[in-house]
Amino acid sequence: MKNVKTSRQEIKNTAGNAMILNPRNYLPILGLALALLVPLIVTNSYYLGLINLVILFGAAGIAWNIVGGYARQVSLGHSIFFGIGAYTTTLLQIKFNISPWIGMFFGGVFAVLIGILMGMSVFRMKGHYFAVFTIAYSYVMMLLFQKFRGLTGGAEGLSVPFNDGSLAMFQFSSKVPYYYIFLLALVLIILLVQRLGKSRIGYYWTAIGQDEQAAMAIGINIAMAKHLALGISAFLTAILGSFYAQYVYFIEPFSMFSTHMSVEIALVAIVGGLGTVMGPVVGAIVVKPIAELTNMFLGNVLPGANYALYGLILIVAIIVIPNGLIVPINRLYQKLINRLERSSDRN
Amino acid sequence: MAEIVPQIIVSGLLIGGVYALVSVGLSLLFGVVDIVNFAHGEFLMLGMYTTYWIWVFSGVDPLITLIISIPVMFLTGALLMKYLFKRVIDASPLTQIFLTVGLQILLQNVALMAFSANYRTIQVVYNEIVWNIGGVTIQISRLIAFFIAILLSIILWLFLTRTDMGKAMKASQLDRETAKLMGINTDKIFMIAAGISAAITGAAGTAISTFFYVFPTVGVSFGLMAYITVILGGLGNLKGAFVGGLLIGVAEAFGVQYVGADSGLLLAFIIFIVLLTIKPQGLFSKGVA
Repeated sequence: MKNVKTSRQEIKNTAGNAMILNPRNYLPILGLALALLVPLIVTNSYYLGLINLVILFGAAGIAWNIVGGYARQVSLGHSIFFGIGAYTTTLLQIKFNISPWIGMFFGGVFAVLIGILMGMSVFRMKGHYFAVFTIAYSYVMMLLFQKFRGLTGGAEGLSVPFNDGSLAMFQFSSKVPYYYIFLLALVLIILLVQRLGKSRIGYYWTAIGQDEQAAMAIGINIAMAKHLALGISAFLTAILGSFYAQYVYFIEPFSMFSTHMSVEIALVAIVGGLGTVMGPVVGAIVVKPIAELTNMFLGNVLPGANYALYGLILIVAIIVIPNGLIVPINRLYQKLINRLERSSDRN
Repeated sequence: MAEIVPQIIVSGLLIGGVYALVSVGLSLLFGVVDIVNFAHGEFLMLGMYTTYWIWVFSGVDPLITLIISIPVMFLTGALLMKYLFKRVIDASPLTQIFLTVGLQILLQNVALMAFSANYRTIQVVYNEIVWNIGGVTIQISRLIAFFIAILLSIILWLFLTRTDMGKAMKASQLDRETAKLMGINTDKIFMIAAGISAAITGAAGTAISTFFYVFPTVGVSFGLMAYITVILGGLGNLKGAFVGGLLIGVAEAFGVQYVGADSGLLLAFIIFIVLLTIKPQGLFSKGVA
């Protein structure tokens, strides 16, 4: 106890200084500062585009992780929320000229409503059922969006109306603004999930993920906690889906609602680390470039090579690194912090 | 309107027989090995391509290719069990799901790389022959597919109930640990179960290859149908899976007739989602999973 008190005292004494001198505080800020410089270093538009996708899917992986990683409700249907977000903003733009910045919140709300509908039918079941149902729902979505072509544009898809680049309509000719917007979204999602993870509901999710029976026994309202996880996850994923539509300018139901898309989102979380905040970011940094570069070099010769690689990565990752790449990275990060702390102590 | 109902039911049952066989294949693997294989539909796809390429190079009737495709698919299933599924038998559902989803994506896209996305068809002389029985038209190739499915289901049922190996399989389905104690080699049983699961599903692919396009993602809707059917029929319940398969075929036929040619599956899936929302333990479960 005495030690704790004195160290607290020390922190208080050197208030502002110590906070910023603590590597735990300045390393993330340093990382963010470096991230802000990326568009100055990466001037090649293709590679910056790739980095943008890494950020977007990293963020989507974090959103997926809320329900898939923390609460361990394996969703293979997050393409539904992604697609709903993309379609809602695009349709609101086409039909009513509503800015994506506003439209995306409608998309988020729709996604939450669909999430609630899904949850009502599947949250009483365990394990595999949820996964099967999420696939079934995304298949139904795909068929519905193909069928009601009057509203959705059908299988031919929709193009985002061209607006000659404006912040108000979330449209830019350069990839740089997208980079900063995506990065901001990523940082906000990281901060949100970090807070959630350390809150009461976050511990509920972890408890459910580890042992649902035990969680129920200690009085956690399982259905409510799961709904909350899926709702938050769906909302965030839909927002990112809107970003995606504004970024690629074209959406069609077959790829937007495919299981492939859902797996792309989940994969980054699995490779990076289930139920961790930064895991999906690490996963996206590793997985996305491999797949995109494969697509670039082999896409014309061997269509499907990038997805085959996704499948292979998934199989290998789940067997070889079930806890994700974040574990060794965290260990290195911890070592770095310790070393920095020791060197600052000596000074 | 009412006079076409018998036609719808017959068409639905004919394809439903094939769905039933695919579902039984999935249910068998789930029941015996306790693993949900999300790559199940890909067994059907592999069976179709096996048949297609043998037909292309030899010109024999697709049905004859079963002689080769059944052993090939059996071996595929058994090897997958030995080298892949076995690693995750005791792992969490999450691990099993992602391992088999990874396999699904891998198989689909390897097929895409190897055979391209082209929709391929097999031409046989009896393709266009249609029988008319009391106002109900029956396409002969679909009737043959139905009979293959029923025949294989009966053979499987006889195997499970009349042979020692089959009984051992049922025993490990009921209680894996006790079966082990009784001296049953569960590793071998698991490989055979996976082999049968792949073989009959591949055979279902062969059965429909005379009237269905062959393409890399053909298995997706069949696989999805099978998972839903298996849940509806009660997990590991082979009879439930069989009946569920027939029902989903009929539901699809009604959807095609009354909602639209592109909406058969849509209606079937929505019906099943609603049914399962109301009765999550499945339609035929009697407490034993």
